[in-house]
Amino acid sequence: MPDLERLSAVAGTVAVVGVGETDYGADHARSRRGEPIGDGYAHAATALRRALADCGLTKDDVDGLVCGPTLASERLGEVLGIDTRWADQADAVQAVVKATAAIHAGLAETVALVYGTDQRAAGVAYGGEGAAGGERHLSYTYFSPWGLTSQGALYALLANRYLAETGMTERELGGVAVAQRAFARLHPHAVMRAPLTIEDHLAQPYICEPLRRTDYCLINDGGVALVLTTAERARRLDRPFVLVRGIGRSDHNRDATSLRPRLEEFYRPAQRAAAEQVYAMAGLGPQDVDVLQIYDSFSVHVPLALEGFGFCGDGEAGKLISSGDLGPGGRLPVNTAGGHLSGSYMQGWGHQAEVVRQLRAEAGDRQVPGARIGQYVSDVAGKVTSIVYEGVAR
Amino acid sequence: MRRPAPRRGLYDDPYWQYAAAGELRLQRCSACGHVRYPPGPACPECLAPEHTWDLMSGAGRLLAWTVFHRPYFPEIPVPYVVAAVRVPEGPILIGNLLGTDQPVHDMPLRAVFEDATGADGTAFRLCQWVPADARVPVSSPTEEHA
Repeated sequence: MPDLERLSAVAGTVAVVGVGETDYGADHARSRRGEPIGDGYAHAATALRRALADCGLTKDDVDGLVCGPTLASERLGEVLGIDTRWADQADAVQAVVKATAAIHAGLAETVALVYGTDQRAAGVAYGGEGAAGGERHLSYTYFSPWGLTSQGALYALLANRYLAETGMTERELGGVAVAQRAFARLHPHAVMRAPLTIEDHLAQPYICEPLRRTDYCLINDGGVALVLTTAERARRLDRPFVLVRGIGRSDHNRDATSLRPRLEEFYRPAQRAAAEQVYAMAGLGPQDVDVLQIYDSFSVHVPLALEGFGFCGDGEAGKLISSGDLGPGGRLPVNTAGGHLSGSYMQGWGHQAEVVRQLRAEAGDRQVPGARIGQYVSDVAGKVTSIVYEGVAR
Repeated sequence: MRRPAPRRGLYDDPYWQYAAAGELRLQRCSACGHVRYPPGPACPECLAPEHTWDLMSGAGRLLAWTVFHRPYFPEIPVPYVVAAVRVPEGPILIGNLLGTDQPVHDMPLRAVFEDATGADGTAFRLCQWVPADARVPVSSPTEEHA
């Protein structure tokens, strides 16, 4: 059982003070025209430059560095010219967890979390021979003789069983792509800004049935950086910042390759365990969340998270999605920058930047009015982590 | 039929050797009886390494399926059906669903073996699934599938 006393001692002690992102849509358009837009390190450098400018710090203030999973950490530090007294490498959500723990422990005071990718330019393949991620998830590559490959196909298998068990329709599931596109249309840097109706979505071809092209994330290039520091130092910066209030994690590995937790549990036990810890540590519940970001390589991540974290009951996500509450003006805005489906596939890093922007009331036309509590939910193949953030106005 | 070659190695080789002989055999823990898949060095229930390669019944039920509409492998034309099959001995296995274009959740299936050739020319046999009542020769099922 989680030790709530130790967890609570960390809550609110670490702040996100700066965020920076590249111009996803503009870069995507330039890349498609054949113009070079730089490699992953270039995107990382742009993002960090912007994140530091955002909080008014310089890289000399940085004494810790977390490198995203797509870059080599030594080379990233070399490119950025940053020597540190603490460093690590992590995905989007573990980067925040690790940096929070390191800052709380005094191993670093100000940590830069930096991600950059040129996955589109480099032609990274997420299915077929040598599928990306196969070195971490055996199921991505193990079943190639039968033609089963790609994370999308594994989530399509899940969706096939999940829709049958819950009675959710493909039209209801399609509401995810439609709602996120509506937010992307309000975001100047989203890649996909053309209108998308439910009829448009249902007219899209299947990739792996029942998932269509618009149920899949985009593959594009870019960078994201976040700067985290102590709450004390954040207060001295005299700008709005965001506190890390809760952290929850649960990894379900047993029978992962044979897909049991995916196909028979829809990852619900892992989501519930992560939810219990994140809400207990933050001292609040799903009803308190003003803005929600959900890791969405595929649309079906969204109903799983809505049910797994208690935003609705099991089997009720279809109704919640079709109510329109997830989109602009709704009661539970989800993936307000368009998410991976329509905004930019930054492997969860963009979601973290977006929740910070929302809680600092800097999200422009897509701003959720009065947003104070934000949550990020990341579930990749039953490895669930969630963070609850609280905005502090200045 | 050309297919991507299976992953081979210390723990997977026996599986494929038995499959080549038309047998679906999986590791059963000698200490606690748990049947595991994919093959591995220790029992995930009790960590004992000792095991036997037990013959499965060949029965299963259809847990989930997906139809691939996008080609990922040049040797496999679309559309094709990939199924997840729960076998009564415990594990979930993956195969292609043959002999029907009307899959139904939980329908009873049975294992058949299909000849395949990898890109390097090596021959192997794939454990595939057909409806339990399908009148398909067990050794050489039809290659016509949805």
